[in-house]
Amino acid sequence: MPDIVVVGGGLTGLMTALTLSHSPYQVAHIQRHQPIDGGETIRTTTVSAAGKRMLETLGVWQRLATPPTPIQTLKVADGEATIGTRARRGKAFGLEWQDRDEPMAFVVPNATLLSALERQIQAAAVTPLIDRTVADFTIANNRANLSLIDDKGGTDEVTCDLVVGCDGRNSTLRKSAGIRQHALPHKQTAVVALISAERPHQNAAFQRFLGSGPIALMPMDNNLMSLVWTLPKQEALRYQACDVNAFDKACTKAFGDELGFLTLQSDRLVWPLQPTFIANPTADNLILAGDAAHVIHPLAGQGYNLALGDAAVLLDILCDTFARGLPAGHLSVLTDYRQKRRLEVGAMSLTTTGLDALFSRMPTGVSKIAGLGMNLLNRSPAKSAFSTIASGGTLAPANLFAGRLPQGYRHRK
Amino acid sequence: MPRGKSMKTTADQNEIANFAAMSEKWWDERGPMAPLHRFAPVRIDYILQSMRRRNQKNPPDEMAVGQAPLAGLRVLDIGCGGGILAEPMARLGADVTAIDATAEAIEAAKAHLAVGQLVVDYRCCTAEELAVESDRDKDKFDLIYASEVIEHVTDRQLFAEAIAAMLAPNGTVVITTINRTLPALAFAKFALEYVVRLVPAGTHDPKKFVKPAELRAEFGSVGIVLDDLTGFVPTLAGSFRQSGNLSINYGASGGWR
Repeated sequence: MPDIVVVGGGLTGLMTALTLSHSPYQVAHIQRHQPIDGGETIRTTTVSAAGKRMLETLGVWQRLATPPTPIQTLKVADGEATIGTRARRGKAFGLEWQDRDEPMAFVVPNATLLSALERQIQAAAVTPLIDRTVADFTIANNRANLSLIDDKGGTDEVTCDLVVGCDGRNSTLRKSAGIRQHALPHKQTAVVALISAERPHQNAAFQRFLGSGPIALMPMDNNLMSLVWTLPKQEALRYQACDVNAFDKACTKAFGDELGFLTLQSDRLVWPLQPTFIANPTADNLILAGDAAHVIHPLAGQGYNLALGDAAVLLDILCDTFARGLPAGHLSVLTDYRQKRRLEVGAMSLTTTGLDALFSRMPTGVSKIAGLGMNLLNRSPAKSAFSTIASGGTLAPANLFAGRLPQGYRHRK
Repeated sequence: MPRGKSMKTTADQNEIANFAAMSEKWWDERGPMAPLHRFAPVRIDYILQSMRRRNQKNPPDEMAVGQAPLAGLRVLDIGCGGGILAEPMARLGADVTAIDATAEAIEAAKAHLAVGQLVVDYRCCTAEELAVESDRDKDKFDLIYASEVIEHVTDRQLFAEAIAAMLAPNGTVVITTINRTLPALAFAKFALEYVVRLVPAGTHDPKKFVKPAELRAEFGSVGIVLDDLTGFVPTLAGSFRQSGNLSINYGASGGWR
């Protein structure tokens, strides 16, 4: 009988189950095996420097089939691009962050990360409950009961102290537990694709805040770049369907000529953007993690880093709880998790949603002032503080973010 | 040991009835005992710290595979209630004896053992009764703790004597209780009992609250030095943390002089 059951087979579910396998509790993992689809070869994940240390410690980084691309510089611009006006080109991406010696983040194709996680979890102390989905979540005698259905329609049940729900933005577990979610209206959609740039990206990540939404380019190998272009719903669908040449032109126009002409290199995916916020991502015997607990605007590529933080913080809490002789579902696990995740999740939700709203939805005057603020920021000490936060781990101190496992409990299993 | 009418006792009969009414709710973490469940982590931390300070607990980095940190240690929980602290101690490997003067609480505690597949020697008796029974060297305890109990005791001197009679030569004593100050009164009496109604009205009698100096003097007179004090204060998250502020709830620990 497991103490903890992790639900979800995506990037977050696999990573969380693997992380918690290093706790002294018995861990089971419920997932449906899904073949890695084409979409995952186009979508990418940005992992902060702290997240990299965590994935190295978990043995995942070493299993990545291709080395992740480091981000050395983060370049930010606001307002329309200034194509052709050479005099102003230098200022096109006015705000520039560069961090010490260490890259601030890394870009990994989702498919590469998924297969590394899948291989690593096979070697971990996790009981796999494959090809099952959760039909119901109930509580009896301070323990959680999960009713499971397998692919052949067979039913099954598992009882545990703590369920960790990594079942995504439409989390079944969240709904079963009656946890309220606040979702912003769906007004924007992101167009996601791989493009190649005419000029070398020099390992810089780019963000341009436009009236219609931010356009972001993350560096990848072979001078490829991962495009996340946020647009009003209808416009996004139009750009997804339009002629390739027209897309290249529109994309280059929106981004500016910092990197020369941009050329589409993959299918175009659309991704509805609907940031969500949950005041309390816990209920009796249940903890939500990753997108089940918080969907943030993808503009800064921080979504997966929050999920890494959820897992790293939860591992530390569970090790302390075990050392106290308490069960994994103890009330203090829920309150500690809630308290320790509130700051980072809240800050990240506010920052990403706020930045987008500031530049995309406010009147031009307000955006101008904000743009001025960004220029000031460029010259202020706040800048180094922001770079520190961008490289991760600052708002979520956890052993794994420092590149180590919690000590003294590992060998107890 | 017969319980004659003349037997001196430290347990107050009215208060025993009060807890008995609630014994079924002991293990509901959101029920009437929620404050004790919320308090458990910080209390366990303090108990383990006190043992570590006195070189009793097995340090985690030196433990053998499968060895629990309290393995081989005899622990006495006085006023165990439904076993909220006794169960974690058993899970950490200790050989736990837990006593409570309320039969219903002991029954609730025994019934709950099966849930965690744990072993605890629960007995319905007072500290003095157990002290008389176990007046032999082999029955001494390596750790004796009384958490949120001493403020319900009528004769604290007798209570300290009973503990002294059962404490092993190298043993540790840990007491946690409510201070007799205005903030403590406001918190324990009015906030807990009347405002948020976390515990039933009438649970606490402020006259029996104990100041740290009084507690140290009473234990000092039986040869036990309580040489460490820590405060427990509520946090905004609804749990408790250790603090230098002793004015509400505090813990005291020590051993033979």
